[in-house]
Amino acid sequence: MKVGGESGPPPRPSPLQGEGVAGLPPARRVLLLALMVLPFIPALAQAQEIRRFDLALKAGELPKGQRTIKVTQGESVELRWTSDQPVRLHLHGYDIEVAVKPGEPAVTALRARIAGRFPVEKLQDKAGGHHHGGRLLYLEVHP
Amino acid sequence: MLCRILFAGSALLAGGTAAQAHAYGERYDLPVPLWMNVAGGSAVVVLSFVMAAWFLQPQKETRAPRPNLLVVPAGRLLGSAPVLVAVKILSVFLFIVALLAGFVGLPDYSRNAAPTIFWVIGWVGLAFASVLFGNIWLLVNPWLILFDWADALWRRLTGRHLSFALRYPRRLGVLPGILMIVGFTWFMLASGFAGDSRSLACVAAVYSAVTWIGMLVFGAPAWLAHGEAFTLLFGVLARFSPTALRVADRAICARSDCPPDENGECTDCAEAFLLAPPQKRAITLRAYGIGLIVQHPLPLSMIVVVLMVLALVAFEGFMDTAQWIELMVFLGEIEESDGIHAPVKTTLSFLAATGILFGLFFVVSALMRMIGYAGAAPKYGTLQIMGLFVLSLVPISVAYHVAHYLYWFHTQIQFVVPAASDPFAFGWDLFGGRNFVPDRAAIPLKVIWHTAIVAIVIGHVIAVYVAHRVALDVFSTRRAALLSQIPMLLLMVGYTMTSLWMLAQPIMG
Repeated sequence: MKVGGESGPPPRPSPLQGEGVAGLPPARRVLLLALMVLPFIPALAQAQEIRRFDLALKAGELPKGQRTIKVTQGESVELRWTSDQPVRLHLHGYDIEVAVKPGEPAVTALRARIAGRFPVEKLQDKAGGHHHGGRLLYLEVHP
Repeated sequence: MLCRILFAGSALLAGGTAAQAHAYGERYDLPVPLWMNVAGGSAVVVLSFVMAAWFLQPQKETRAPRPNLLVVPAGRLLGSAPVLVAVKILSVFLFIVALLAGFVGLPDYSRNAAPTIFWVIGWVGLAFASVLFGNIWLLVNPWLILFDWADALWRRLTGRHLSFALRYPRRLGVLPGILMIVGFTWFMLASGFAGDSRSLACVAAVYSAVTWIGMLVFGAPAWLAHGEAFTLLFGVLARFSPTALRVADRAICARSDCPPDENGECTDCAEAFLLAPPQKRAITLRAYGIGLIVQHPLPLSMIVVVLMVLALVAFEGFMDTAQWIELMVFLGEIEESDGIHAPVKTTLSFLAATGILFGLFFVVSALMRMIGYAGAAPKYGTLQIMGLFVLSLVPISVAYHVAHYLYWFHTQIQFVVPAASDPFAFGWDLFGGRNFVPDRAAIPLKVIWHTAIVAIVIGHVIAVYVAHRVALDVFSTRRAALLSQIPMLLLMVGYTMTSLWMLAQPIMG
């Protein structure tokens, strides 16, 4: 805790780390505390902003209420997938692909940097590459 | 023949595995929020009445001087032979690269140059440029450039023009062009192959053959003006632009079916402009939208072309809505995972949309004629009234085109970077941009929303202005002219509200 020693105006050499702070006037003590906490506030806020959505695919489909997911631009989003069949999923626009298997959940994690309305599609393997096999949901990122 | 086999093959495949539903390139924009839409809609209604009240005041006619851009220094530089030749070479180069990429290249949408050159630059890009700057299609049309070069070569070899120069049957009007536009609409919106580079090259090759045969038989100017879809489509849009193509030759204008004005000049007449010798041509400046005020009624087939332009932009927006999918399901189509595949019903729906628009506009024109000539001897028939007023609807569709395509265009134009580095999708990296990923947030969505709404409101205001100006020319008294505009105003508000409604719909399929 070098900070306390440096910013305390009356330099009182002390082996005890806390004393530097303890020796400050109360107002300064609060200010110091605030200064120390401040850099972590955005990180904390961001950590709280992770929007998690649990999406359980049954026979390759989602329940009706989960076909549109709305988030705000800048938020961190996690789509946590479980499925009773193996399936590969592709989030358009952000171009993120995940494979989900029964008993093996997968997560599509992203920071919603781009506003828009992006479908998540099931990819099906066929001869001659993959092709798009159905829209599961739309991720709406609102500005 | 190769194309036919390919097409038959693709049709079979489409039945089994479903090609991409989208014509080309995905759109991920969010619908415009309700409050913005309501604000835009209210502005449209209020401004319509403000405009009408403004026209109640006596107007002073001022004729601004019209400088010929071809003689001012900057214009002379831009119009000089080396610049024009360079532009033409670039256009032909892009055309050939696109064809080669389509036929030889691998069908990778994000790299193959064919979809980017044909759709992004050639269709949407040139439509924007026609609106913003003028009829540059007459300069960059690769079919015309290549034909002109072949003609020059042929003349050097034989001393004769490369054309049978048969007289184009004028009573057909632009009917061949209408058929081409319907074919183009089928391919772009209905076929399901529009994003496939090989089909694209096939269609372009077939279209090239038809166009060159037409030019060979009737001569380039006559065929382009009557049978070339893009000369017609871009020509309609370019009438909105701030540059007018003028020809100062009464005989050439009359020969091209473009009635000369009191000075013996005709404006925005592609055929006359191509026929006229350089000293008779001029490019002059005007305000946006002024070119839509015409003194002579457009012929019937040209009315249909203009209404098709309106129907095309509106129909394209409608095809993205859930209502379209519902309609097709109602008509017995099956909604597949990636949308609806109904080439025949889609094309018929487009024709029906044009038909409905024609019917509505006919009724409105009949009402305008009835109100405008109440108690006076009618100077024009209903079809002629349609021909005089039809262009006043163009600003609304131009605005909707801008609103609809802004987001799409700003993402798709970035595909130029990977396409330039790897035009055939062979894995080349000519300029180091092969793995470039377009930034979908290059223009923030909020900016796009505001631009869309503002564009539609401005488009509507210009449309109302143009129609009022035409009415003042057509009807004998100011009162009659203003009253005649009530049905037209209703049609315009309806068309604008439809545009706004479509912008508020989420993009489906």
